[in-house]
Amino acid sequence: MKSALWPVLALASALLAPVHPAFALDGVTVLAPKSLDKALIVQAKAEFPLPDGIAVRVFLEGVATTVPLAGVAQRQGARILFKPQFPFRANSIYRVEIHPDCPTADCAEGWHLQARFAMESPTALAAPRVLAIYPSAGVVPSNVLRIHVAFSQPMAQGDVYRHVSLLDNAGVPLRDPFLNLRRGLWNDTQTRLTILFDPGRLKRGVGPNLTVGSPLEPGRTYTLRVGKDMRAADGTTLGEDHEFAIEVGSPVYAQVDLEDWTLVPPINRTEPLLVRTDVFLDQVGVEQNVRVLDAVGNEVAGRIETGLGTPGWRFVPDRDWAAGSYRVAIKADLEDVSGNSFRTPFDVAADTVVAAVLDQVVLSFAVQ
Amino acid sequence: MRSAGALAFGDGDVLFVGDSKAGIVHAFDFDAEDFDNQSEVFLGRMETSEGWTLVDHVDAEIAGLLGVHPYDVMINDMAVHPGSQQVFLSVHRGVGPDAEPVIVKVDQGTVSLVDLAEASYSKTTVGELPGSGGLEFGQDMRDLAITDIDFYEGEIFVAGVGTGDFASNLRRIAYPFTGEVATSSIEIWHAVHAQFETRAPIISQQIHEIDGEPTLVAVYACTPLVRIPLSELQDGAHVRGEMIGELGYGSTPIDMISYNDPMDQNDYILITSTSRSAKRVSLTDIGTVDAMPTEAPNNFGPAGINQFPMPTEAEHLAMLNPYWSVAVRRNVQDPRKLDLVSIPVPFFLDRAIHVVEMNFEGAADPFGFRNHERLKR
Repeated sequence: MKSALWPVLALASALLAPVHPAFALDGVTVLAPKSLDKALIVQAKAEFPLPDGIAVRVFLEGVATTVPLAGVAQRQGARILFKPQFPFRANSIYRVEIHPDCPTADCAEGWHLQARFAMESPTALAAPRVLAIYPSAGVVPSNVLRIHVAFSQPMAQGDVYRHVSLLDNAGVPLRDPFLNLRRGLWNDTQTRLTILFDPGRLKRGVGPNLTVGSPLEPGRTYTLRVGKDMRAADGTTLGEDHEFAIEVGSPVYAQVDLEDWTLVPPINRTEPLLVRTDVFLDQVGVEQNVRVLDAVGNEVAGRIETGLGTPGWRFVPDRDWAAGSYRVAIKADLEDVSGNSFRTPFDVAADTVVAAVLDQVVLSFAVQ
Repeated sequence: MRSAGALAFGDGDVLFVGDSKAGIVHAFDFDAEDFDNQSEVFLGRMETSEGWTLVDHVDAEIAGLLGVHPYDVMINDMAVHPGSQQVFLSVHRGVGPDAEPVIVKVDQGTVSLVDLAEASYSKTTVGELPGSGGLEFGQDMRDLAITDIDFYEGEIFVAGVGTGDFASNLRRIAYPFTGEVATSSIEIWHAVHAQFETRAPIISQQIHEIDGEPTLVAVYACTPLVRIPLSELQDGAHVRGEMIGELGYGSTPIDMISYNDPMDQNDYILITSTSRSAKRVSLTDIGTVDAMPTEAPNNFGPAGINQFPMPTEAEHLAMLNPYWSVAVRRNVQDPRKLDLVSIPVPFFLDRAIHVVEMNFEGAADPFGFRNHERLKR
């Protein structure tokens, strides 16, 4: 826990904590590193020379380890510079131990606790936040395949399913609704987590579907909880539970069909392009598979949003539209939130023949 | 190195490191003196089926070395140097997008960083790589570019995902590297899914001579066991592997090791997986069993080849020598922690972590364990 003093301490990059003199070696001073990638310095007080066999080792405090930090200790006259193999970490406390006579630095006994120091963060670390989940609004089909969780900063891998749970309306967590992957599904920057419902429970007639059934029931409301202990890559935690209500409707088993889409061209040069669909589409799938092109085929920069409250998506250009004709190129791999694509339904009986479709479909519109 | 995943030792003192992020296999050719002989390390006692903790809280020990919290240590794979029995681990320092890859070794119970600069270095690409993103479920395919490496008679066999409709690839690369990569794509019948599959990668594999024929034995996710004669793995070949067993739906394989059982003198492989018990399969059976029927209805398994369930819990498992295996295992008393432990062959049972009747004073001793002096723990 950070105390109210931390903003003041943050001015200094490192802070030495006094050690009881009974344990420390006389005549030796420890200078904490000036910044995270600088060396720690052990030096003699004026009247004492450093013993010839003196050795230095540094431990990260708070870890039950017998192993000191990897690094190189170098004698330079009346000083020893300890440079760790990896930079020191902000918001961590270190312990410096000195041995008066251990030239090999691997002695089992005889070490003196010489100093403790804390490496501070130049700016206080901000707690991560959940920015949004997708699908983000409206009624989600009971066979929803993925939920994406967007975070405000890079998160830590591992253990994600301990922190993400789905609760029924009585607040009881559902048992094993998600595909238990050894690694979480993160985007490159680890700011977006994809949670998969166990496809074996969703696909009708498959083993887990027959034995334990589909996790969500139409007509009910569930809560997705991202727990307060979920960690960012820098070690800070969410600090509070983030909860999102998920209202569940009928399952969607049909493949995505362009016949059910309605394109609403921008009514002026500043308004977004709106496309209404009959089913909610997967946000990440839309980002990856939909491109807006101008008359000569250049991609129009902008962002695509599915969180409209109703099924569909809109494209908000970074700059105002120019008058002219535009095309929307949509890859057939685009999926709705239940994993149905233009190519095939997600849940398809083994002997079903699915007709081939074009790899890409194109819609056109014009801005006046 | 951008990432450190699959590890394998080649003949002698070469350590291969799979780097999925870069799509590269790194080869570090050490001198024999760079390894610390571990043959005197106490491993436990086979007669009483007692394994031994080689490194208590190995994740915390590595964390201390790297100056991070144990939560920020990812142990990705383990390999044992055959000459010295020294354990090597591929580790990521940090769990963010900028995690730093390192190789850690264990010497008499103490972890230290491997100085990769000591070795003479070479590398090879593994051919075409998947882009980032792209799996049906959103998983970054690039993480699957290299799933396992095995060395056999002067070549490494690198499993993983490439590109296109036949993405499940096995690359055959001569060492020392020449710049040539022979890539075969592999198709298998997957009984649980009742379809031929061409994209899902091999998760773990080994190469064994079976009836004089060098044969790749491979296990896929969710969990077909497949055999493929090496002679079929030619550059550009599209190979159909024979599915000889299904280890049971809803589980992902972790490791495959092989050993000879001194009790019956048979050779076995042992496959560990995430949510089912480890399975023992005889090499003779792998050579002789009929392939499972293709174009058949779904079979959720376990099915096909004879599989004997084994009590092996391990995040990572490798053979230390013919009589002992070594595992990175969750601490039984405190599952938040990981230990490096030895486990005796052939039962892969460590009695020390289980509470049973015969541990009580005065209880019957059906296996004569008390004929042995109690080990000081």
